[in-house]
Amino acid sequence: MSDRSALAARVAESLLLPEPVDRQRLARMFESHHELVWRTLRRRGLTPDAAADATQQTFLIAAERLSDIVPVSERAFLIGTALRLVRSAYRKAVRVQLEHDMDLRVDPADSVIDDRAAVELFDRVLGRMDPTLAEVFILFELDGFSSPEIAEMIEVPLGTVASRLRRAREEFKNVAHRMDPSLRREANK
Amino acid sequence: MTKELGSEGEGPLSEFGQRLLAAARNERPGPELSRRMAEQLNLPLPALDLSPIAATPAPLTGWLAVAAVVVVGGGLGLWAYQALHAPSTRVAVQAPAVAASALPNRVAEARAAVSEASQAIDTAPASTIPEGSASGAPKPVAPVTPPERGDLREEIRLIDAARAAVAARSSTQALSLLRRYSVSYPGGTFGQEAAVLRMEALEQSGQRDKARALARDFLSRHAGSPLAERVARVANR
Repeated sequence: MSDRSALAARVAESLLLPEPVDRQRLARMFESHHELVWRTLRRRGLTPDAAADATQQTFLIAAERLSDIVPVSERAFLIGTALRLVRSAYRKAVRVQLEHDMDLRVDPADSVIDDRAAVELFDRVLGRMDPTLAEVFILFELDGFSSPEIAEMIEVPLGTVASRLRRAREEFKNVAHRMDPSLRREANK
Repeated sequence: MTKELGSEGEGPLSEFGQRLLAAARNERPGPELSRRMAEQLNLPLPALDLSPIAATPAPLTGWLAVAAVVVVGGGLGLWAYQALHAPSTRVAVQAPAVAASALPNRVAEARAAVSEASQAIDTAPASTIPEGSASGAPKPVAPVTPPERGDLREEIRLIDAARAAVAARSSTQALSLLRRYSVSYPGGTFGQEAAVLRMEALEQSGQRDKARALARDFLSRHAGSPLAERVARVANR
């Protein structure tokens, strides 16, 4: 290497501290997965703004670990990181689940609920579920991870994932059933 | 393979339950939230699907769509120009992201500037090499510009906050701020200061080996840095 090249390399090094980030890859990851990460955080009880902040944190961590992340595992890395953030730094931001009867949120006279209300109700159903069951339920039903992927992500045996998923589905159905405004209408007739 | 929810062998999921599940599957951040996240990370605005449930109202939807077209179009234009003129493949590949973000990618700029400067300098110390100085050859990328005042203020704010966090021994917060700094300002004005703060925060968080390794690496590359003495303390602890 010539003196000039060596000097250029040293200058580049000094300009690039700390380590440079592959911004193109990070941008692609953000475009592909930021909605999923944000949605997963929302389902863990964060408000839209808090979920956005935690999503940023998730991508900042990913930026730092970019060279360690295998491309096929980007999604799993991001979601795993987001879940860890919820359990640690964002634990306090998880909104308190309301204690009052969530059925009050649905007017039995309404035959149609809008999307936003439906999402809110979904979160209330989750809030009534065992958190460990809700976690597996979200990862499988909403995020589309396979059982083996979930097992690796939350570090439990595959059989535990299958059992939690079965119980989670049953619980979800039961709670949703109790909230169903059409059933309440029938009962009130 | 796991069966679909409500399929055979399980009680059926009511229409109401399916409705809730579908709504939750489709929720996504509104365009404003997506834009804010991208901006904070100094990344290009993602292509936004504006159809389903947005978490926030989207009064600027139309404007954002137009802006996205303009920005992406501008990026493609610049990319095409660079593809024709740039001698360096790497810079040409990086450039669309720079243009598309409408925010300076200082890593790419620094590399381009260094590449050009190496043709013209012999012994000038790193700190005296003007960005974008050069040789008279056509520039492969847009001219390097100094940080905007707002950027510099934000850099200072982040570094100050990180320094305060280190002083308060809040290593997690310090590392988080420094991550944000390194992503937002890869060739930032305070890169060395950020690197040193990071070592100190790592040390506080118990990651002494990593801190020492970074310190040794720093000293091998920046022995003459005014921060060298401070770094040496980390390396020798």
